[in-house]
Amino acid sequence: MTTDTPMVLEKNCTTGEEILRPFTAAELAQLEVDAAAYAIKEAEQAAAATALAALKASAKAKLVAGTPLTEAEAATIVL
Amino acid sequence: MAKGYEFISSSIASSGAVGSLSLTSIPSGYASLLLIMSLRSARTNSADDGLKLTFNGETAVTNNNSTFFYGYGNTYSQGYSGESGYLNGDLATANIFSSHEILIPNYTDANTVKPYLAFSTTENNAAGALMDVRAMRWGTSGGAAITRIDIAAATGNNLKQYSSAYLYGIRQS
Repeated sequence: MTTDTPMVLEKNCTTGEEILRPFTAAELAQLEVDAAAYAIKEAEQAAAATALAALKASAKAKLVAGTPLTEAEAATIVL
Repeated sequence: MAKGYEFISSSIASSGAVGSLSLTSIPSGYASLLLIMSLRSARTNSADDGLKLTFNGETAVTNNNSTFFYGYGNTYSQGYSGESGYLNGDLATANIFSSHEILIPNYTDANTVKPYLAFSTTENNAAGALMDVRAMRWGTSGGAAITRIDIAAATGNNLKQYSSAYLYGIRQS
């Protein structure tokens, strides 16, 4: 993320007034919290997607070879 | 019967990048709100970024969440999230912005949580783009009418110059 203090472009929908101002300290703190939470979530989603793809590939290979699937592998292809 | 869209206001980062676009003092005289956005974040290491919508300054994710479904190339995913979709990151093709449509019915109803629909698609003239549909809700039971919407990237990166948001009202009769 950027190292400069981000700006908020506020538009008053009633008066039409537009203000460009820096984030407040509270807004900056919330920004950091949200960004950290999003990074964790993204990493978890990527790991889950990778694991699922590996499980599916393993299930497919076992089906082709005619060998038994694990329950987790079967769950990727059974509705 | 709805009478069609009526332009309320817009917020456009025409002079440079901003951390957020904010629409404040949203009038209450409509049945629903429609928010149309064109966005791109300054996130340099990805072609996409999370879209963070905040209503009335309420930042608790537990009060703003979704069930979502998205497609990416020939894969898809589904889940539960506090974000409202995906916008273009700065690794996407240069000067290309993502498109978003957010429908917020009953935004003045003080007796219910506020459900809303979020559609977004990233744009990338290269490999892969995300198409995302979300059924969302904001707020606890009861609560105030929506009078403010803040639009930002979930990673904390700036929204790039020319990112824009247009707010429309829909009258019921």
